[in-house]
Amino acid sequence: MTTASNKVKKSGGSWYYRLPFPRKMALWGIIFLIPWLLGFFLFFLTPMIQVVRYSFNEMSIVPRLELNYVGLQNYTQALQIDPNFNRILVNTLGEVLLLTPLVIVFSLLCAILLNGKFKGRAIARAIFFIPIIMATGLLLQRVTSMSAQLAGDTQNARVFGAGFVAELLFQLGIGRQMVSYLLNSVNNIFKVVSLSGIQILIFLSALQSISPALYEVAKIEGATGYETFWKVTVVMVSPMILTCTVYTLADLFLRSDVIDLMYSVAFRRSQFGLSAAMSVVYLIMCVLVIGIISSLVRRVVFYYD
Amino acid sequence: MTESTIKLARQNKTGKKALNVPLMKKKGKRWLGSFLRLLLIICLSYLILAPILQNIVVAFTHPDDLGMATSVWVPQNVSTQNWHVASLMINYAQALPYTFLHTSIMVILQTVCTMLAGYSFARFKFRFRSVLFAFVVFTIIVPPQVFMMPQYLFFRSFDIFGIITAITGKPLNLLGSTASLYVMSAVGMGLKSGLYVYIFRQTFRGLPKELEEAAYIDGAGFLRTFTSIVLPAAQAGILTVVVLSFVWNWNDSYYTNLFDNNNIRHLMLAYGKAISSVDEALASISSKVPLTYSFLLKSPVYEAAIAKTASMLVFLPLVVLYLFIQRKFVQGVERSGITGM
Repeated sequence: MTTASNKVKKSGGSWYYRLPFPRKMALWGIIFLIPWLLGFFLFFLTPMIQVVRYSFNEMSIVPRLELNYVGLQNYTQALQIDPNFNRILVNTLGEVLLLTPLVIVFSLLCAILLNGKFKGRAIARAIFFIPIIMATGLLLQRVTSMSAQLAGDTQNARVFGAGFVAELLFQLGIGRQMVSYLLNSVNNIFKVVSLSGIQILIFLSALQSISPALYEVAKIEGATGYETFWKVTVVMVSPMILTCTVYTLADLFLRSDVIDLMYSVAFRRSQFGLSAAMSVVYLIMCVLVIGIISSLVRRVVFYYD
Repeated sequence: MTESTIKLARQNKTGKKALNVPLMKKKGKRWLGSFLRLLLIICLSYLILAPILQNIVVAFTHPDDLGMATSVWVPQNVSTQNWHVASLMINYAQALPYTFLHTSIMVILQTVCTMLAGYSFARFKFRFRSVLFAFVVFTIIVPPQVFMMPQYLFFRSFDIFGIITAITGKPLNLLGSTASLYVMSAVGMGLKSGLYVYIFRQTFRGLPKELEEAAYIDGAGFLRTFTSIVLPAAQAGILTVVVLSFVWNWNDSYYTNLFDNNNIRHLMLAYGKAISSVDEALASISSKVPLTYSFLLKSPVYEAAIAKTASMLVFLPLVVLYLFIQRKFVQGVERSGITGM
């Protein structure tokens, strides 16, 4: 063994230098990936398995971890007995489905507004990226709740004008559901703005990378601005619509009240098994919703290759 | 409304060179287009800025004038007393430098790890690469809070493959120290690390391959190629990730709260604790402040004002940093090609 390694050293090239290039590449690929792989294994894969295991057990963690198998009891507790879990879950789902299209449309609109050349563009861009820096957590809740007060809460909106607008929309023959969706969207405008930071950024970057030649062709072919928008701009940024949709959904699921519930069930009420069961249900819901929606969006995505 | 604006904006753009159409009509349309665009931008900017400006105004309002109709946008009597009380409340003088240092360490660890992973996914070909990248996407879409309990228990008895038990005889308890947060960041499972891996992958894929090939031919190894060819070329992407990571780690209270929840030197945590019961927080510092306004202590308006001021104290360092790098950041985002396919 030692003689062999000495030999290699003497001959000036170790086993590494004899590897063909693709092998070396694969080796370095793995080396570069080691930290991430370690993290993925320790903090993602293992916890996932453990959460599933905990959810079938009644557990106590003081003084040490103890598990008692109770079968599906935690799940029935979460889904049928707990007064809040179902309600919050449905609320979250509703909010996610309401906000995601709004965020996508709003951020695309903002990106298009910011994309052209105009006076004060630098300032406008600086302002539009402010939502990114107040992106997460408590601060955002604080600031947006302030702004909701500022704009007048829902009831005030009903008093001022919104009722009139709703009436007008009814008269125009737009369905009740649609009208309430529109009104909800207006009420949620601050939330939408604060959620759109990264998406604006991604869309802006996508708009910059559209080849000007496509616009030239469209112009030569006599397309109007409207046609150009739908048949060039939207089509070319459509892969990013998929990316943004996935990102927005993930972001919204991360801010949900379900998280707070899981935290308080585990660390205040010490019902760790129940919290694990909630985690599993929530995990499945997130993955399912994101999977279904992204596969729907993927159908209309166009890849320019 | 929106469609017509976009249409007008487009026509405005393309109309510049089209000279064969009646000029007057075009000019009018163009003017209308830029006017509408400006109007929209101003409205949206107001939406973004209004809550922040409002908070700042409240922070500068004299405690006596709070809630008065005369001091909505311009305070009648300007005072810095709110700032003083709020900064004492969240222990600002100590928390700010500490949080800055802490966040910077997290950013460095997180950036290095995700950068290596991103480069690996972008350039090296090895087996299961696409499967592993699918896992990256999976880490983006799964809310990390789902794993709060296993991760908590993991850090309570911290050990990697039994190494620490073998040396010291029992596993380490890393709860209540920042080490747990550093470990998470260093192995690329910190806050939103999946997204950074994705951004880095797209950035590196957008770079011309020829640069690296030339380096290989000239005899540079993989590591050297990475450090002296790829990294300088990918500055825009690195800047994007550093900024995002800094902002999110600064604003994060979830991980700190879970693993290190007695650390009051962490700004976000101190802030969260203070605003959850402002009256208690105010009572605890009442000895330090010469409060001539003791009658205000129980007033919800005053408490709200202090909470708003505290939120601005947490937020403003980010704004200052942002103002310094904003131009580079925005340009960088455009060039880094987050989107590059």
